[in-house]
Order: sequence, then structure tokens, then C-alpha cells
Amino acid sequence: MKRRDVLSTIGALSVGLTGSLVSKAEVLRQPYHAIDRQLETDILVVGGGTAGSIAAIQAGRTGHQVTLLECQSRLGGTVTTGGVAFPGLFFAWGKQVISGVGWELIQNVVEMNGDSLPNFSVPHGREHWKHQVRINPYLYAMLLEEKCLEAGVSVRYYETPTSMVFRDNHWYVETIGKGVRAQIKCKQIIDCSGNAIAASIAGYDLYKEKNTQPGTLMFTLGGYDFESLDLERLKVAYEMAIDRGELIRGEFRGDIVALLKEKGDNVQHILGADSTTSETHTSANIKGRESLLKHLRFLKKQPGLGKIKVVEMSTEAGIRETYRIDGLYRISYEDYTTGKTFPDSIAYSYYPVDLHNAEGVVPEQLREGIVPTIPLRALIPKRSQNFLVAGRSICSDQLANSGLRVQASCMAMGQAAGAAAALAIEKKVTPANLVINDLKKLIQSHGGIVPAGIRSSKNE
Amino acid sequence: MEESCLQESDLPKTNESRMNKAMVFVSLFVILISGTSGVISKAGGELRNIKYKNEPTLDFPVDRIIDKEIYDDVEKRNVTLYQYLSKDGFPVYYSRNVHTGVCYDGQCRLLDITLYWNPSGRYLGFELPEDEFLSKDDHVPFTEEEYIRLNNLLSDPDLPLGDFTYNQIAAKSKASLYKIDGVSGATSKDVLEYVIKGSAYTTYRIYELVYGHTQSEVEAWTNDVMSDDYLEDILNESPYQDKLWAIGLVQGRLSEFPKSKKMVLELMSSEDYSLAEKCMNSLIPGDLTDEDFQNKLIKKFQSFDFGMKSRTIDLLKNTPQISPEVIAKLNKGLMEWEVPITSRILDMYREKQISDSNTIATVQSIAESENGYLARKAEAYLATSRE
Repeated sequence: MKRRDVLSTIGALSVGLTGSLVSKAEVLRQPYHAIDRQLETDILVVGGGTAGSIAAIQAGRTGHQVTLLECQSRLGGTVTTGGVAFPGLFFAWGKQVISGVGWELIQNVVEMNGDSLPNFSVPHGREHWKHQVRINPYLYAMLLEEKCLEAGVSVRYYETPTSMVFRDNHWYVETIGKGVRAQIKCKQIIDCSGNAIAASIAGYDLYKEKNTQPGTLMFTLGGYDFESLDLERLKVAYEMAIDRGELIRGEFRGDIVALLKEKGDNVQHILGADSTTSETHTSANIKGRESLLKHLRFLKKQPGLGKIKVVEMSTEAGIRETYRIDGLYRISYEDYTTGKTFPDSIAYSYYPVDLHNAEGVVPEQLREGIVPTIPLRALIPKRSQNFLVAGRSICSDQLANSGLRVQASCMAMGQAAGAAAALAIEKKVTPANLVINDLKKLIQSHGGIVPAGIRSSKNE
Repeated sequence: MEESCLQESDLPKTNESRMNKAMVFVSLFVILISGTSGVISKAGGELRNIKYKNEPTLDFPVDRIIDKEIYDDVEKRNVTLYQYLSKDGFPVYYSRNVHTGVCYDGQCRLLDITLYWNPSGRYLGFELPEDEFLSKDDHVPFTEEEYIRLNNLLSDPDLPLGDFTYNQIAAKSKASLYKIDGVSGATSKDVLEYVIKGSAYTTYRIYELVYGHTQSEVEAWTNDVMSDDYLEDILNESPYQDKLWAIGLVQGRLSEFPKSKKMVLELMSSEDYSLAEKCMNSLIPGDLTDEDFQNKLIKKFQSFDFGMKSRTIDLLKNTPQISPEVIAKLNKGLMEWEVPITSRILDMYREKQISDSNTIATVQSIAESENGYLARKAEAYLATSRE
């Protein structure tokens, strides 16, 4: 007899034998069955991360019904669950290039937390991180949620899509969550999963590099005085541990000093980290934590580090790169580094080309005055209908993607996608057929910044 | 950033009074900021006073000097900080003398230097005692180019050198002891970009002194004597970074400085984002209790970017009373502001129970908007106003 059957039998016997002596709370119940839900919405956003939460708020503020699926327990993605709480870059060459919903949130978090913004008027030079805004991730998650609810967005945590079919000008999506199976009918889908998972389920082509960028588990170390450490002895001990095969050089970029000096902040590299499925993401999380534990044990044996400890650690490993869609336009490295403006540019992106690999990362700063732009076509999978992608999974080559994948750019793309989906419903067209100037006006009317247009017969 | 070594013939003798020295120091700025530069550290083959200065916060003549004891966490002892005041009692600059050992590889050498700060804490310059010079590890004196580079390095508050630790720099000299090479970390090359070659410890120590505890003491002392007239002078005449500093300093206290408060309002229209943003964020809701100020602020509303508009509404929301002129102005543009701004205004109206007939009529038209989100907001307001 199976355990569950035994429990059911005992439950029945207990009820039968003791009758009214057993209070309601003690009565054993049948195991739950997944609840089936039939839902209808205008816009379904898949993924409540950096791009998705902004897309949902933007779409909600146009007055449309919006449902947001998030497989984790809170919004914000890499900023919150991934622990990379320093979004950037919103300013380029002394001018703001990304505003709107994302900037509104940053301002709110900074003000509410009593922080201040960096001086954006002073050029960042090679230290672009000086223009990143350090924010309180917990506050950010709460404000995101509040703004989603205020915009009428229906937030569904712990839920992920399993199938998508397009017929009669609608999408029919099946999702699975904790104890809930939902069938959602919607007009537009925005895939902000960061892995193009929805695009893949919908049947659109994806691609992925053979060697993707490593992931990083964010954590903070404490319990030691960096100034009192004998760094040279430590480096020797580290090299010897690598030679003995106890540690792997690439896991902390071969830089044990940086690990200690930065107290762990964004130094780790998890090769092959992929968040596409629960299995690959599980593997990335385990690798990240294993690596941290291994290094912690090594460090604890070194002079001056006996009391080293993990002060905090993000819920999951942050992932830089997985799948991207095969879109109507692929943004190239040349497009990105020359700041090409397209007839359908709907957002700016600004960040150095920032390709992490096993050796580390050497950012390639953009030339003075260059501000790359994102064309709407890069957000649309080939042969798709009523389907958009925003965030790091847009169509782009690996080098361009290493720059445009960052949080501020994802926020701008999210806002553009949210507006495009809403406008497409109003105009009864698929997003690829939108009049770009109408879309730009809508984004601007919600506080967003759009690139100045170039002459085009279609859009003028 | 302009920099220069002062003309030797202009420099005071070491036995002259500190007062005279200060007067010469200030008078020379006129030459420096007008573009004169160059190094004359020798006269008749003898070294004299080597001195480098940058752009001052305020180019006022020094009238008197006062001093106080402070604890220096770099030298780990009490030192004297000098405050140079104008005739009106405004701080013009600060200085302190440094006599400390720079030690590495088991050897120490004396660093004898006077450091100068602007009232904002911004590095102003340095001066060596008569006939003294800085030298490198091999005892070769600094060249003119190296003094200029040192002054430039010290002038950059964001220099990555500030992120290094003494341990990291010291580690380089110890590397040979362990006969290791090619081990990663903050490499010598990294450090070299931010120091005078052959003088890493001296550069690092001076940088540490410039941006250490003394700088905070300077800022605090200026803050103690801050007045409306002095702040007004800084906002009018000082370099950009000092303006930003001053605005940040009086954040939340602007009502104590009525003349400066008006200037801050004017600076909100600056095309420089950070300057405008700092001005806006220096305000607290209490600053808007003055209706005249509210009205002047709202006149600029149309020209503000999205972020500044949002912040203005947040301030108004937390102000006890909103002036009728402000409400009229907001109502006039209610259909034209960015959607999130209109939404915030509607929330503010509801929370503050603004229920004049003009406002109700304006909001009624929004309740008929095609944008369901805005229409819902308008309905929520109207429901409250009917209660």
C-alpha cells in the first residue's frame, strides 16, 4: 500500500472511530488536485524581471488588461533575486538616454531609501560603474509590485508557460504553477523570460552561442580586515591550491585578492550558467554555491581569515546570456559600437561592450558621443504574430548583446515592448506593422525617451 | 582643471608671517586662473618654494586666519587645521602641514608638505617648504612634469587610487621576497597609472591625506559657518563641483537661506542634469509651505523632464497646503502631462481632497478618457470628491 493511501485510510478510520472528538483542523484531507483556471487578458507578459515588470506596468498604464507570469516569488529578476542591485546606465555623455517607468522606480527607491544619485554630468571615463545606481533591492521589489498592482496588472507568481498556440488572432497559453494549471487567452504576448522560453514554446527559432558568458552568484563576505592581510602569501597559497586541483582559477577570475577586496561583489564566474530550464538553473545555482563554499573553506585556513563569513547571498545565480530569438533584425557589434540609428529605433541602450569569459572581462568603452539604439524589429521573432520579446533575448550578436543586455537597457526595451503590444491591440495590427512614430509618441507620453527619427518613407 | 607652479619670485620666505604668505597665495590665483602656468622652482641654482594650486571656490582676499586642533586618522595624531577667512568672515581656503614618515620595505622617509583645501573640501593645492623637494625611490628629485602630474592626480577625487589599499600597494614591493611573478591581483601596471613612477607610496600617502579625515573636517567647519550670503556667493561664483557640493550641504535646510533658496530655484532650469537634479532634491516638502515659492516652482513645471515633474508632485503631495495657483496650473495641463504624471496628480488630488469646481470639471473629462487606467484614477478621485 502506498503511503498516501495509508494516510487516507487512517484519516477515514479516524473520522469514523472518533467522530466529533476530532476537531476540523485535525481531519486529514484528500491530497490536493491542481486547480484549473480559465483566464482572459489583453497582454500576457512572461517573466517579471528587469524588462518584464516594466513592460507590464507600461502596458497596464495604457489601460489594457495585463497578466504577468513570474516563476519566482518576487519581481525584479537580476536586480532583486539575482542580487545585481546597481542598474545602469541611464545617462550617456551628460544626457539622460533612458527614462520612463524604470527611471521612475530608480528615483523612488533612491529617494525612499535616503540615497543619492551619482553625478551623471561628470564623464565616467573607463569606470562606467560610477554611473550605475546602487539601490536597495528589497525596496525595489516592493515598489515594482506596488506599481504593477496600481496599474491593474494581475501578477501570478510561481507560474510558467508550458504551451502556446496562436489561432483566431489570439494566443492560447497553458501555464503550470504551484497547484494551479491555467489556460490563458490573450491578444499579445511579451516574452521577457531572459531565455526566450516563451518564444521557443511558441515555435520560433532561437540561437545560442557555443560559449556563453559565465553567470555570477552575488554574495558579500565579511569577518576580516583586508588591510591586515598578507596578500602576497595569500596569492602564493591560492596558486598552490590551484596547482593541487583544490580550486579552479576561472571561478574567481584567478584573482583571490579581488574576491577579498570586493568582499565577493560580482567577482565570481560560473561557466556555462544557464537559466533556461529548472534543471539548467538548478545546476548553475549549485555550481555557484559549491564554488563559494570551496573558496570559503580555503580562505578560512589562511592567516587573518579564520573568521571570514558570508554576510549575505542572493537567492539565485545571475545569468548573463542564454538564448536569443531569430528576429526580423539582428543588432550587430558594428551597429552597436557605431550608434546606428534605425527607422524603427524605439529605445536607446548605453553600456560598454562587456563580454565576460573564463579569463575575466575587459569592457570596451563606446567612443565619445556614441549611443546605440534598439530597433523594434530586433524584438520581433521571424514569422511571428502578436508576439514581442524584450530584454537580453532580443535578436543581436553576442558582442552587441554583451552591451545591450544590461538592466537600464532592458527597462527601456520593456517599456517599448509594453507600449508596442498595447498599441498593436488598439490599431488591430501585429507589432511589426505599427507606425513607428505612433509608438514613439506613446512611449514619450509615458515618460520614456526615444531616439530621434531618421527619414523613412514608411514612418514619416 | 588648471594647474601651475607659482612664480618663485612671488613666494614668501619661510620666516615671513603666515599672514603674508596667505595673502600672496591668494593674490597668485589671479595669475593662475587666467592661464599662466609653468614651473620656476629654481633661482640662481637654488631650490625655493615649490607650490601648485588649482581653481579656488571663491577668489576672495584673506583677512585673517584661525586654527583648531583636529585628529588625523592617517598620521594618527592631533594636527592643526588653518582656516583662512575673508573680510566678511567667509572661509576662503584651509591648510594643514604634514610631517609624516612614508615607510616601505623597512625604510622610512620624511614627507614634509603643506596641503590646501577649498571650503568645499575640494583639493586646492600643495606647497613644499623652502628648498624642499619631492624625490623618488632612487632619490632623484621630481621633474616639473612629475609635479604637474602629481597635482593632477591629487585633483581627481574619483581617482581609482582611492580604491586601492596600502596593503595592495605594499604587496608589490614584497613580491620579490616570495620570488613570485605573474600572480594576478592589482598589478603594478594598474597602480602605476595612478601614481608617480618610482614614488607610489608617496603619491598614495598624499592622496590618502588629501581625501582623508581632514577633508571631512574642512567640510564640517565650512558648514558650521555657512550663511545665506556666503552660500549665495558660492552658488553665484564658484566652480561647478563646488556648487553641487553646496547644494548637497544645505539639502533640507534651504528655508534657513532665503536668498540662496531663490537661486536654487533658478538653477533647477539648468541644462546640466546633475545640477538641476541636485537643486530639486535639495527641497523638502517644508520648503513649499511658502506659497510664493510653490507658485514659482510650478511655473517651471512645464520645462521639467519626467523625473523632475515626478519629484515636484511628490513634494506637493507632502506639503500641508497646495496653493490655488498651483492647482490651476496643474489642471490646465492635466490632459497633456505624461500619463504617469497625470496619474500622480489625480492621486494627490484625491489624497488631499482637492475639490474645487474647476478641478472636478477637469477630472470629469479625464474620466471619459480612452485610457482605462487614467479613467479609473479619475473615477476614484470623483468618488472621493462626492463623499
